[in-house]
Amino acid sequence: MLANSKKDPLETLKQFTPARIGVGRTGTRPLTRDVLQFRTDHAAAVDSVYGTVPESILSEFSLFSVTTQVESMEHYLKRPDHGRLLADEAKTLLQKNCLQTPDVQVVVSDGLSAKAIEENLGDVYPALIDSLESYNLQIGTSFFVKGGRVACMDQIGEILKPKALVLLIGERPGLMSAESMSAYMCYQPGKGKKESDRMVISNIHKRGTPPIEAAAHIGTLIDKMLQQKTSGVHLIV
Amino acid sequence: MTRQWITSIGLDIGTSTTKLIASELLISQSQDQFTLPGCQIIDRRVTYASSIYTTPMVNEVEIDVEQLTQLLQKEYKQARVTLDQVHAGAVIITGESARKQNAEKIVHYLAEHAGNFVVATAGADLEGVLAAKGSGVIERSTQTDQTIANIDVGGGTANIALCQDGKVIETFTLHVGGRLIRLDKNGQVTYVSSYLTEFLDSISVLLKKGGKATFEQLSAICQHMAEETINYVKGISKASSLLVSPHTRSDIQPDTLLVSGGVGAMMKEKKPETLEEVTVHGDVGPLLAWHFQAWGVSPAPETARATVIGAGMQNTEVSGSTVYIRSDRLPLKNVPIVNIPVQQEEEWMPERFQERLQQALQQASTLFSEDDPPVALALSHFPYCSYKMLQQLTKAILAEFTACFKDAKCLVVLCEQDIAKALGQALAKQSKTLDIICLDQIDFTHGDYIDLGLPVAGEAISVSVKTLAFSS
Repeated sequence: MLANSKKDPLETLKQFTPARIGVGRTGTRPLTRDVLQFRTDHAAAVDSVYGTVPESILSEFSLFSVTTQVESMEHYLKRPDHGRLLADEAKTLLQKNCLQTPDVQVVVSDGLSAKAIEENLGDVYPALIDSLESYNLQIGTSFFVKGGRVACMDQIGEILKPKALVLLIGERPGLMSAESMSAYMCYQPGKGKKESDRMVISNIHKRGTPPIEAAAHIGTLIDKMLQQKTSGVHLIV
Repeated sequence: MTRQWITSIGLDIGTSTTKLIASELLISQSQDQFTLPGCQIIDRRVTYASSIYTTPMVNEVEIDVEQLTQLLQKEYKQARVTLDQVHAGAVIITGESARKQNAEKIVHYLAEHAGNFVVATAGADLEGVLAAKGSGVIERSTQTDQTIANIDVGGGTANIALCQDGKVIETFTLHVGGRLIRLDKNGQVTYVSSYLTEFLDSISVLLKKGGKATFEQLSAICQHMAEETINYVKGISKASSLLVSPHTRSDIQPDTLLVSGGVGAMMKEKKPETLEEVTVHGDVGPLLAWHFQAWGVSPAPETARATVIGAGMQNTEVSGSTVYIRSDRLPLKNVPIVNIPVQQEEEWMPERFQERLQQALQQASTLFSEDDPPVALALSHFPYCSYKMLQQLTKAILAEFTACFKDAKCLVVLCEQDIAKALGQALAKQSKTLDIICLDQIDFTHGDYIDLGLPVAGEAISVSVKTLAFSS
């Protein structure tokens, strides 16, 4: 229990945000401690963009890999449109390996943060499968897309024709968290779907949206999408 | 964003007075499409406040339940509230009225006459918390860095809550109140509470039922009573003969003291100069109020109705909005809370958690095995919960719950952290037969029992955490 120690009001305010406020200065410059912290966080962000998802975590959940039309990270960053299209051999692989027209298709992609998948998939994926099963939904064959963008959902939708699709993808890292993941969801994804048709639960990581609770909630949302046969801004939640 | 108003009733049956309020709570569910949905009460308004009645008594200690019911019916009519409109609320039975025979009768009788979702509650601890909420002191503590003490002085007891940053950090109760001594305008003493015996001895004042009291005697008593209260609240003295139950005073020293309750309401009045002025209510309330003020203490923003406002408006909370319910048993009333810390060690140790769980449930099974659900498991002290940990939690909970409550068919789990839906789904997967109710984001620190209402916005349900510690 707190005794009568008077707290510094700035300390109280700092509890509301992880932002770098009230860090102090020496002369006109920031303190060495904060400069180092800033550079560490920046390096972590860069690392998570350029990193790769370890094979071990993909095999843990028996996810096979496909690629997009992206050939390198530079390419990925410069041509977002190429990250939305699957490589030619990927289409054949999906047709060969995957269950067609499932109730729900789960897809995992590194996106802009391989670290996000590495840190969160182990908690989110099994909890998500449990949640979908609790609604008695038929789950398709899950796989991993290397170098994917959110809208790659549409082409996957065209190929596998799931009723709903969940894409777990690494978010653009920031200086607060380099391991934050998003779950994008869409009812009957396919050509011509708009951003407003998609839904997202973002900021999934240890200090953000709790991973297992996010996974449990995704199941509820997917179930609602299938009942109402729509998603995005049209869905009544 | 979905919004909904619900009606909540508050009824405070105290040693000397009874009052009622009707209020409306605005529940809002935010849905910004990017995060988990959130649900909270964003506005609370008093829509009706009754006058302050003298609590109807059959004799010195027993409440007249029949008269109380009539009073209630009349007030509901005036407030234009019908029973089926009432979605929440609380009856709080306070001070000396909270004797067992009274409280139990009122609980049973009022269940039918106050509305389905109105909960009965008592207990000095909760009373202090509700008074601090209703008086506005908790809110004031969020606006300053001070520690503020709310002293709710009624007829029989003074309930003290120390508040810091919007939270109650310590509560205790003293036998200090306006009606502990009752007398007529000639100074003829009709009642002296036995709780005052030791205190009166210590200040060498002789006062007995049937005897006569002088103005000077009463002044001395009230002055010392106020002084002893203030010194104990300030932490200057560490012991008091007036304590209702044993209490170890912490080192927290409040910066500001505010008085609510009936005595708080009289603090703005001028000093009573004669016996006649003291005894306008047949007790020493006005004199006690003056002496509190003489020690430099001010009245709280809301005084006489603090507890009833706290009970009516602040007692209802909503659970988190991602929850798991596989049961048609709601609403549920008076489910005993069994609190179990998930992680007390440096690291998460499933065996240690299971040991604690076993111990707590075995003990609870000797007390509450009759009802179904028998108890609500309240899990506190959560670390980050991984999928693996979730599985271990689930396994331990199901194993120990079914071992201790063999006949129970309904499992209720409350979590401090936002994991109820995931935990509920995991429990449901492992046990196909049990009814499962799993809720989160409920503050159960100040309660022994919980009432679970129906969903009010999305999946979130209304809950009231309360104590039912009736004194015998």
